[in-house]
Amino acid sequence: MALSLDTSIHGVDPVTFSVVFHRLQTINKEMGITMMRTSRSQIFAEVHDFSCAICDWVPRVVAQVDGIPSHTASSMIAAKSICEKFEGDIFPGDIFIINDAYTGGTHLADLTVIKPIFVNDEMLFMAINRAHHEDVGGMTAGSYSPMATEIFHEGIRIPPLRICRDNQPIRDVVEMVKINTRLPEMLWSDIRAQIASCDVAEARLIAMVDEYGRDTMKAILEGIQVYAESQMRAAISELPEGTYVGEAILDDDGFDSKDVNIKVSLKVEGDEIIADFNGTHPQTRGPINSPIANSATSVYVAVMTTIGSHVPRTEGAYSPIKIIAPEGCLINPLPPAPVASATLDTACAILEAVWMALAQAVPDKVPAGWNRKAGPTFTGTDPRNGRFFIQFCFCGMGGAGANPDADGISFTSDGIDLGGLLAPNIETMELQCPQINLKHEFLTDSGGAGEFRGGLGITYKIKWLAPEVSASMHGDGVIHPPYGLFGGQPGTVNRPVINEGRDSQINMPSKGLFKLGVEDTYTLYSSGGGGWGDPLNRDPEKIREDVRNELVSVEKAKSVYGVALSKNLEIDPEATQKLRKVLKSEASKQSTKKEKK
Amino acid sequence: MSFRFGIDIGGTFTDGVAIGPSKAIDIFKDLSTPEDPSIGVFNVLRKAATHYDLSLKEFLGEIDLLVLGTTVATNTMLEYTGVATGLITTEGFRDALEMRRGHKPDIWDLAPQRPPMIVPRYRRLGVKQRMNYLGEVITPLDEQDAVRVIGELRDRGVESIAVCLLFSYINDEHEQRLREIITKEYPEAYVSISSEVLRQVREYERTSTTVINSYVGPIVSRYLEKLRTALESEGLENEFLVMQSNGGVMTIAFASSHSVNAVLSGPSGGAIGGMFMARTIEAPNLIIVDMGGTSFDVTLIDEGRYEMTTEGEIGGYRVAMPVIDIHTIGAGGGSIAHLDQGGLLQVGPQSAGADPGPACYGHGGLEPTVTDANLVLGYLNEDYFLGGEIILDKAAALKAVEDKIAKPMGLDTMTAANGIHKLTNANMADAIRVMSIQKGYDPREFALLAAGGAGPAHAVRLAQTVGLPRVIVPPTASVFCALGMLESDLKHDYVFTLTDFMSTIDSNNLNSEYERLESEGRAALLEEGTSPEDIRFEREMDMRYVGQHHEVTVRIPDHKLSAKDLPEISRRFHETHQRLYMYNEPEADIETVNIRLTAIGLVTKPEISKLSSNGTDILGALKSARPAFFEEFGGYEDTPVYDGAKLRNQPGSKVSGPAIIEEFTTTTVVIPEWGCTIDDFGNLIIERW
Repeated sequence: MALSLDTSIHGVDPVTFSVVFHRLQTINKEMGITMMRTSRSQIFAEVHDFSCAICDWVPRVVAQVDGIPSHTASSMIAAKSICEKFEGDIFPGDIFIINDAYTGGTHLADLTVIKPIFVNDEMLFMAINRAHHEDVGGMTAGSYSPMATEIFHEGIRIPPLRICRDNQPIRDVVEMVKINTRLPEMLWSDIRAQIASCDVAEARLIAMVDEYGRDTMKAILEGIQVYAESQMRAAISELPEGTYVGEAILDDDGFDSKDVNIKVSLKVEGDEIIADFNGTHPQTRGPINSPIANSATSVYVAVMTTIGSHVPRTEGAYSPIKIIAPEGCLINPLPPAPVASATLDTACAILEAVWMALAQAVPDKVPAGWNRKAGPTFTGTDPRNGRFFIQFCFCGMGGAGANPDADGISFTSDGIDLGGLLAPNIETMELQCPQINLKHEFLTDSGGAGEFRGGLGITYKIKWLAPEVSASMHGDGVIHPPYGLFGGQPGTVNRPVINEGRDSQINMPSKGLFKLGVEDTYTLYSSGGGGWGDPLNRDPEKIREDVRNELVSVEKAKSVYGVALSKNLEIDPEATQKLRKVLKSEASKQSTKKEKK
Repeated sequence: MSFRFGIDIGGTFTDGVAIGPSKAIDIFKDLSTPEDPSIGVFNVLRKAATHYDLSLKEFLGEIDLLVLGTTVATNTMLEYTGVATGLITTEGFRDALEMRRGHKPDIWDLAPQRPPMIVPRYRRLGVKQRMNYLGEVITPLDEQDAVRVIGELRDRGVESIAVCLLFSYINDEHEQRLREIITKEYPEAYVSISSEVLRQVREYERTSTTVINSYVGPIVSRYLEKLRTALESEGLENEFLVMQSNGGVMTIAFASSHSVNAVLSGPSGGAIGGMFMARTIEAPNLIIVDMGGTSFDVTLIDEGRYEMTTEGEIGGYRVAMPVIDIHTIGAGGGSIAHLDQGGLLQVGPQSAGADPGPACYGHGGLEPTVTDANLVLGYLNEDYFLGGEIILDKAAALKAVEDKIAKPMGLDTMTAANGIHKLTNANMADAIRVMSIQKGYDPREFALLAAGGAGPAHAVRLAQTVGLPRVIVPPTASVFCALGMLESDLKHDYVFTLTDFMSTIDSNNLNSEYERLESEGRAALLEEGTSPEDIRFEREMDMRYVGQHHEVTVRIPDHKLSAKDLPEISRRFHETHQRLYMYNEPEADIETVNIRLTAIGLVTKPEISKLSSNGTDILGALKSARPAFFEEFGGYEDTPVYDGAKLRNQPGSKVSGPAIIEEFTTTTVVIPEWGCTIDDFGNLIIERW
């Protein structure tokens, strides 16, 4: 159903509205290009672990097309916090910075740079660049400290602060931040890249206001919120009313809390959604606590990827979604709870819980579970040049969950990043880190079986050539696999191993600190995505292709999918029919048993 | 008589451009024949022969230079119809091609389709061997294993093989040896090795480029061989050349082993044509826009040169070799206007194509397109579209705009049609900004060169929107690519990864690496028949600040380098970085990544002669007048319509806007407050008056 867009109340013609709306998105993308091309860290330049946004004067997000989903709404919360703290004290040429989880940030490694943009002494926009830096101090290099029990262990906390005045860096602040990281020069040059991306936005936005005039511009910015909100409300109205419950489980917090649950009751009422997290695990000792900005973002991502995929990601789109998060629970912790792993582990679990709830309301729009990141973060000194290195293991991605109408993508980033991160090349890794890669290939049978198959995880094996390498595990999904939906089977769990096949073999848990040395190996069998629908309904031809490509084994084709293949991989239709019949009746017996229990 | 002939095979038309002894340019057009493109080629050649009163045999015999733009490689990739291809990698790494570095085409789309796998997993096999990051062999090539792998690929139906091993860009020994073994074990197979196709770091991009070469190579080489045989048997005596994506031309022999060089060659003739135009009319800064039925291409010519990029892509596969930097968006005459779920007006990227085409074509299209809007606005002539070959149905256009846009938005038809026109311009303006402002160029210092059938109807308004002071519409606007091909040189690109720092680099080492690449380039050009005095080299280097991951390509002086040249090279880097990203760090050290060499074999360029004065009787060129919409008037105004062919023949003539200039294949709209002057070459020069 097409809604009519009533921008005329703001006195703007709809064509100008469209033109400006598109231009804002182009400017937003250009911010990202600048950041990617100029930053020093692999995590930005190759992996794209950052995002850019443009807010209006309120501030409300008006454009966010660039960047990874987990930063979606959290950036605007940071902007609001700047506006509150510095009310009446924001001037042209000011640039602000923030990372504190309890005053508008997510985890400390995400530094947010915010530039207010003035036209004739009136602030009309804020350009925002949020980026995950390689190190912001704390007890472990790489700032993912699995042993942290307070946020103070995790790195430098930066409340909303001014970092530039008159566009010149304020040395007092810069030096204070730099001395608190293991990579001061890299951190500072990457902050400069963030500032450059905001400067680009400033130049373009001012030119746009010059062209259209302040009043028209303001009217359009108001109109964008109305437009997004009305679309979101219409999308929610189409859902069947009711309360849907979803629950996801994290492996542990690295300490005493095991099987940490996130429970959501999703209430659909008219054109609003209320996501109530009562029943969620209390905040934990270890760093899987999720600050509210991160939690809210995860809920929004779940909604925007399913029923709201056509809605522009602006503040207006989020206003019909209410979140109830009891204070002191895992998704709204009280300081000084540690939070470093929230943007990966907990964000993924929140997303999964909301997806599972939504699947009951709109089965044809929700995917099966995606992989959670396993880690670890490796750090050490490269004996070839004496330089400190950090490797976040982006080469160890897993599978995406299957969709209601398509197989999941193999080898892509975890759920909350939705494939938005890029893995570096193996050649790049060996140039930058003292290691030899032994294997990097799809892992047969890792994708959850289903009518639509989960994406595959991989086997990733490296051998270290440095005497002292530290491995900080801060991932998840070693115990709990990605869920399957509607008869689809779960994917495989992450299986990280040190020195596999040797006497010194260690099967690693999802959290913990480990030391490796020369010739030690790290092997990761990464998680495959969950399957969607009954595997016995999968087209035998697809199974044949999967087997030919060694994505599914002959055994699994037979035992799970009920497809009998000859040695030449030809389908035996009769045997297949029989097999499927037997498997179906076994499955129905099983389910009656379960019901009786 | 002697001719140069350029042929560009497009989606709808096959264009031919002939430059004869009188230096006059003649244009020949015929429908393309997608099932066998060579039929269209011969149709165009026959048309030309007839025009010159020659038999086909006589005409072919008179051709000195025949340049062909082939879409065979492109279409093979877009339709995924290449040959069964196998890939040999280092053992343990056979999936890089399919892993795509984890890339998902659209982050917010949960199930975006990755492109079909052109080398499925069962045709990708690893071989036992390994080199480290210095190119040192740490596991020798296991030749028995290689024989086994090749045998399996053959059994799995492969007829073409790509080889890409880790770190082969430093040490190509194993790849070379593998090729020898393949040639011995499976002599029929087409083979490409990554160290020859693209000798640079990053295995995913190198693999993808090499695989494309193997996938399209056999098809391209068969097609070109067949065409050459046919042309020769009909009388062609001189060898013909094929357009490359880098703006150069190549011989058939080279094209057969380096087919990937042609996959993005479609619009590159236009860039060369633009460069040539920049020189002819002494306007070194041009932005070329080519708007056809479905797409809009933008190329920037700065100081007479186009820019290159290594970030090409075709059919979802990375092409990492240097190609002309051309930005394409889905905006053309056939782009469909629609309202999104929130009621916001959108134009494209969906296109009505040729079938059913715009509503006004009367082939059953019900969706309003850009062409329909232009007809409603009075810019197009319903009786003179393609010189009257297609009669447009104005009522159908009005109805489509009315029903699908005007009514739902509560606008009148005129405002709705103008909205479509304006939003299309806005999308194209953004594409121009991407190529200019985003790369640090000020569009106000550029003239807009309008090409393609649909371009000139939008160009002046577009120039006004982005702030370009001048629009040029050449007489050859609709066959601009084909003409550009006749102006292309033989061109080969070489790259070699050379990691060092500007603070420590040895200029002698640089010299010897460049000289090595030069001797490679020289040998290739000599073999292709270039005489030594026509050989030129251009040197470049990919550089970045220490620790960055993306490089900036900088031109390097082409003389023997000494230590004195190094500060100048660094200065150029800092300057380019500033232009591209709005900042630089003059104190910081610079890393070198690749050195690049372009070897050029000069081809004699056609000279475009000036027209003699034929008076300036614009009334004689006046055809009629019709109402056309202009924002400046808030509605329709009776607007004079000129016959472009007559007008162009009168250098010095001036026409003030609003005006419409109609030609066989294109219509130029001159908006109010702008005016058009005919220059000495018959170009329309449109400026703010």
